[in-house]
Amino acid sequence: MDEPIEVSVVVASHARHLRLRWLLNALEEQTFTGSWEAIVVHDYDASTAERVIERHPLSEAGRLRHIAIEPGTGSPARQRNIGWRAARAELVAFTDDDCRPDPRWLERLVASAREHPSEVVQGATRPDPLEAGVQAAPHVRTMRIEPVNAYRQTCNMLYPRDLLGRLEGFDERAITGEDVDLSLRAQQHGARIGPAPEALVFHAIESHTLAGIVRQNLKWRHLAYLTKRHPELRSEFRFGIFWDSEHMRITAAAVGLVASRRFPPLLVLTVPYVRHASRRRGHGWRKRALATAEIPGQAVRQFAEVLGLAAGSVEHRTLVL
Amino acid sequence: MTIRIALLGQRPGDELDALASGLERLDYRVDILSPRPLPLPERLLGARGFAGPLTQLPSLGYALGKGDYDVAHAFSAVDAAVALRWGQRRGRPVVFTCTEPIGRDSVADRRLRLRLLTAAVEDSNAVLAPTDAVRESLWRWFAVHAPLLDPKNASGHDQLYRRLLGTATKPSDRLLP
Repeated sequence: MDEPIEVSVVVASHARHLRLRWLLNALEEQTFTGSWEAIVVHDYDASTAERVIERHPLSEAGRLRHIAIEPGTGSPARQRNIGWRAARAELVAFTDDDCRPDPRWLERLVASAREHPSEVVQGATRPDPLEAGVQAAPHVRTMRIEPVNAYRQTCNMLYPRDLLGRLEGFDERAITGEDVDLSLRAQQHGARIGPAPEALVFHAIESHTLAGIVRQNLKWRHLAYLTKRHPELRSEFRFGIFWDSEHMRITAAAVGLVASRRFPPLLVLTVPYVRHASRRRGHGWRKRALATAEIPGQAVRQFAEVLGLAAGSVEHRTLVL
Repeated sequence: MTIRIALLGQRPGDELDALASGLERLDYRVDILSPRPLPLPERLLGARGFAGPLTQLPSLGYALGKGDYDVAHAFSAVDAAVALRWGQRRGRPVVFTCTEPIGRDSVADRRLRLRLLTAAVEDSNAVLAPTDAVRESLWRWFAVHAPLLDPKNASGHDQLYRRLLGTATKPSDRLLP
């Protein structure tokens, strides 16, 4: 491709070669008529990379490049940094390998960036309707983001390349929250973050066992590191401490359960949690019965998250629950 | 030596019957294993978002284990899961025929669907496509090239099974592309 490239799409991929394939299929269907490229930074073996990436139609059309790193050396931050540094365009769009961009995603994201030069752009992310059946599982991971949110996850973001350069990209010391950190540093450098709600990406809906989702969520303990770096994040927390209302309710419920042994009226602290949890699936007696039956598992998951954050708070000497 | 084949199918229809008959004419011993799912548990699993049917799997596993087969050939990703476990335990090959084209809307739409399909496509000793549409969909969504083989083509399956078992009928025998 000789013409100047208007936008580079950067994807970090690890342990999800099939979802990466599906993402590439969705990128192949983009309606954006300008010149663009996709760069995948991954740690797959040569055989997997060859069949999933190199022989994809986007590669054969000259639109897709890939950079392989040694297994065990990657992280989302490092891989995205490698990706944007290899990008040839002035605009860098990020999405994740467990996402499915709408066909007009890139077109709308770039249109927003052109309307507001030098701005960071965040699109919208919704749970993938094609995977809605999985929502019936008790422990599910997906994303729903209306821009501009507090955390600016890179499942759907666009940055000017020169801004990435000035910020030196993602913080590779961050185990998690590197995308939040980048967006906050961008704002500290005077960049504005604007919404592009029509630039839509659909996020995978994945079910896990209770043990699996607890293990996955352990990474959130590193949010204490993020909070220490960016104390302004506390304005998003409940009472400046609790990551979200769910954590606040489960902590109160746990305190109520323990303290009620000595002082039974404190059992009332469990009521907000149970009330909210029983409505998790919506209204109607069947949905409420199902949600109520799931309370023990949900409580274990949420309390494990709080304990993980507590451990991170000790490690980084700043309280986040 | 008589080769013993287990054909695993939920809806044993013309195709499986034709394949079984054709293989028997080639001196195979063929059993079609199709235990029926249990309706009420299936409804409950379906309500919880699972890709089904699933409740036939214990019976299928039992039948496979009892039969002393040389090859298990599954015609659904769910049955392939049982066949793969059997194959690992017994050191026997497993073949998976993907009977319908895969699409983005059907590859991860229910719980376990993606995991079962991935295992069937990536872990089986051979993956077959009965039509071009299936073959193309396997390439598009799984980046896997599957040979085209009509399920009713007994001699084609004969060559495949013998190749997997390491017993070619003639030196010039080729695995169908």
